[in-house]
Amino acid sequence: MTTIEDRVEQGRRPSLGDGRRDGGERPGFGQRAWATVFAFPYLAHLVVLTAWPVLALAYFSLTDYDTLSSPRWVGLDNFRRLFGDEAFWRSLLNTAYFAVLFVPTQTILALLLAVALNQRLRWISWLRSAYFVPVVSSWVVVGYVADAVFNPQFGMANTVLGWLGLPPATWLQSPVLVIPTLALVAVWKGVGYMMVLFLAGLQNIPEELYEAAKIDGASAWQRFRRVTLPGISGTTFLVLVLSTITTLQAFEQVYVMTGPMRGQPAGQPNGASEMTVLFMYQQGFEFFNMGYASAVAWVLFALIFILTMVQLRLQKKWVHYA
Amino acid sequence: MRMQRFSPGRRLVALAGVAALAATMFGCGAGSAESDGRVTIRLGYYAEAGGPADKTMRSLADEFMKANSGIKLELESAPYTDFFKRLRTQLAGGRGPDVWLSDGVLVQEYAGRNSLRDLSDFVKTINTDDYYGVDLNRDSDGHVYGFPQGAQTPVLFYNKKMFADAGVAEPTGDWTYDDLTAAAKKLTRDTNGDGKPDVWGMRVYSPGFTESWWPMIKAFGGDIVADGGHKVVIDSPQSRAGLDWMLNAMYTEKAGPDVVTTKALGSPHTMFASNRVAMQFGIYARTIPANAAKIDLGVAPMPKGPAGRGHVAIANSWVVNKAANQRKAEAAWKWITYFASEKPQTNWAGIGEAIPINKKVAASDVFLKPGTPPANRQAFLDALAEADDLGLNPVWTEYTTAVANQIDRALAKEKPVGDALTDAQRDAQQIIDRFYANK
Amino acid sequence: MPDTGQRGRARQRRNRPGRWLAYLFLGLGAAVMVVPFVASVANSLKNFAQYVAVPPIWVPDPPAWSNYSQVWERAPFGLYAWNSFLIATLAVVGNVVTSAMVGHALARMKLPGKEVLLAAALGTLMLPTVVTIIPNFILYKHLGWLDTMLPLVVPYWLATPFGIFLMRQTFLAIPRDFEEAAALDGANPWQVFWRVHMPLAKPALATLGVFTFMASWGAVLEPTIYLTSPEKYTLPIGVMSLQGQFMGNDQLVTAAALMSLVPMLLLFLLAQRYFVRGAMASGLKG
Repeated sequence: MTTIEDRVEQGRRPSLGDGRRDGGERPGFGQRAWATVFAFPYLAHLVVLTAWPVLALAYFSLTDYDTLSSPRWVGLDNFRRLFGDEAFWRSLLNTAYFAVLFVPTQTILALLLAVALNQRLRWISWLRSAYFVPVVSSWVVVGYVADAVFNPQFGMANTVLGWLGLPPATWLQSPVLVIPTLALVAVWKGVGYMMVLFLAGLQNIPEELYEAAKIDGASAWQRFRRVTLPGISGTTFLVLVLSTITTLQAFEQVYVMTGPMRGQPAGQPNGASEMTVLFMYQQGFEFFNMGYASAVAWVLFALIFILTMVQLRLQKKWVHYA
Repeated sequence: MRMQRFSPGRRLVALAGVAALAATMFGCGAGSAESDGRVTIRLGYYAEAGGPADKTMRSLADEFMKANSGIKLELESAPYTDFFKRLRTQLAGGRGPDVWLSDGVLVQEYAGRNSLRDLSDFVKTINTDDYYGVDLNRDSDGHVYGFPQGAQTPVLFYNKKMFADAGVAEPTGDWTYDDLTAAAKKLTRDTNGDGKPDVWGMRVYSPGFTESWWPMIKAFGGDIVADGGHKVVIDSPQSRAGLDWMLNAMYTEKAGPDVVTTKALGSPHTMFASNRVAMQFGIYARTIPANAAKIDLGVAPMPKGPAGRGHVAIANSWVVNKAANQRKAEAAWKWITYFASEKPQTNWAGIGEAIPINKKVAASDVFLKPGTPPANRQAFLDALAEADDLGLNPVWTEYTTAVANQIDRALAKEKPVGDALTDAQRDAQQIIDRFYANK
Repeated sequence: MPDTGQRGRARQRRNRPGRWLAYLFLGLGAAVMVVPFVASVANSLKNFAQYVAVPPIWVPDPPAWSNYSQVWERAPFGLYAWNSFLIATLAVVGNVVTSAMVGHALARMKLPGKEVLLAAALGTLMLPTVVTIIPNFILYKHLGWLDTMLPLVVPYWLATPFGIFLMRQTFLAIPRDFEEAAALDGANPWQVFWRVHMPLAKPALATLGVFTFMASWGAVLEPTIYLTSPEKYTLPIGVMSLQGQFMGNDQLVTAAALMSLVPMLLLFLLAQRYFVRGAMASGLKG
């Protein structure tokens, strides 16, 4: 918010940001005002699309709200119930399990692919395109494509297992395999994008650093450890952030791949794939417990907040700026 | 500097284009006025787009509007899961349809949360004996919140060719659960010689419990809830006997695929249709995939258990939004009674998805002899006449999910049957109590 | 290739045996990426009996080409595609312009509370859509936007967190010399932004554009909730609407889903050059 006084004051004084002369200074409409104009869309976004739903959910979370009749105040009951709800804790564990499988696998695989692609190869743009086909597909498409692979009855995965002399698996229908299978499909869909990010990071590392390391007698592995990894720490950070987001938002995927599309309630088998967002969705949309679901949403907000803070911290510590 | 690329002229043209686009898009916004004195009601139903049900519904709506010039129907359809997803959001925002087709098991969920109009007074004006399923919608206080549109009830489906190939006599109305096991065992075969069966006599388990443990528990004398849906009673020796029969058939006699294999074999639509099982409990709608896959389909009454045949039924029903005003509600009721009348019911029966709720149509050749298998369709009507509801109450989805969770574990041998039933009873009762405590 | 592998390092490694390893690795990986699509194309050409057949039929004979024409008969997919295209285009225009504005403010302008905004963007980036759907529905109802395309477009005109991040990174990397020159010519900040920075940021803008198009094109939940009139449906709702309650109809839905992918793939192939370069620009130094 810029008051008139601010503007007047700014108009009078040339501001000296970063010790440089700021562009486009005009009397009466200073840099701050311009900046506010530029940032306005996002300020509106924060009020309308973030603050409003978050506050509305805060209110719902303190009520018994079935979405059909008006909310009834119950204080902290929903939170009390939540902390004793086994299914909720299991959904958090499932989310963490998914993250543990998904985030490192995708990151490492993407890095390996990027290193392999970071050389002059024939057909390189075709190869790279292949990795992008899943990236540009929506989850609805991926749901059906994944079924062609992991359907225990007529999917390809079991045929391949058969060639290897292994017994068939039930994949998404197995309480043990369902989350690894979901993570695998998520990697399959996302790795292409992360690969390109790494590729970009790799190409930003100055060649001289490698030369210097070679002269010092560093082995290929040492060069990778001491030059490549620090050189792409910014990219790695970005990839980790984006992968974490995918994990937290793994709703559409779980819904499409385990849910009604397969003729059963989502989160099958028996809740083995129920992640926190899905748990919330089920409580709110299928069981009419919107108050309770809002409490779950608030726990999610808290988690997101903590993760954001941790990531910002890590970024400061971790990322070497080239 | 490459400023020239974004010349003001081009920019203006682009902006004007976007503005024009936006105008055409958003100009045709919401809300239709009732200027011509007609009452407009929004009618929601679930159907696959462009499928037979969707087409039939649209043509019936047209005919209805021709016959009732004072009423305009605005149709809103979506496939099953999307329809209810959207409905819930719409109702939360106070913008639900005026009348919609509800899955029979969900009528009380909406009624119990004050979203539906009590149709009891309307229903009094007609002779309910002419229709199936009216009582399936009666809640514990005797109110009726939905009027049947089509009915579903499970009977015993069997694959005639597989019976003939194995030389096993086809099921009859005299079959007991023991006969079922014995026949299923004879029909189970290992076709690829790997020492394990890959074709089974009976699909015993299904995640869709209407065609699995629910009628089985009832046939053995158990039940799931009592007292108008207020009290969970599943933890009984009779329920245990029902589940023990299932465990015995799957794991001891190996006459049916076990739980994991069943899930691996695909959805309830595909298993019987792909010749993997010779028998299943199937609701009427399962005749569609069976016929699509050209199965030589027969149906027989449900087998007899120690306590009867355990018939259950679902009456998918029209419900009226409580927020609809009197005029709209009357128009909606007109549509509902129109849909229940002979001609629409005949058309609806033609698509083969549901048992007609108009008894005259159900007794006619349209339903009984449509020219496609199965022949013995009377079995559906006999079952329907005796069927109980599926333990309906306002928290049906939530409590049955909790019960199914436990029972699935017991049937997958992850948990002893006794413990599963005890936990199922506790979890489900807690859910029901929480709902009524908050009322 | 014009856009990668031009560095000296790459040239040096040209003849190492590692290349063959790389080919093997990349080729195998590419197969893993593409073969499932081939399998689902085969699925989309099966009739119901072939679809559920055991043992599985890999290549349907005869192929049921009619599945594809049936999809078009079942529902007006041309109209749905047009709706999706309109919504996605408007979303792209809005998101590209507004995210660039905000990204520019965060990267190049004096804005009080910059850090807070950036943290907020990171936080909202992680906010799952499904969490906020009920409050948003209530909001749009009061605005009278239900059953219009507005709830699917307007949020993109309010800048998206991903767009803000991407554009901020991009603008941070642009040297200051350009704007200083422009400022000396008397350009105001908008002119500096629009005429100097935007043209320089084209690859990133293309990336953001493709990603926005992709997100909008593939969105299922919001259109399902907000659109009720069939003539306003988008493509993914059209695809889902073929699902039968009593028959999987999987072969039909697969056919429709694959068709809905085609425009996206074409766009990707056309924009690939820009797009990959843009993704690289966002690969970023921090």
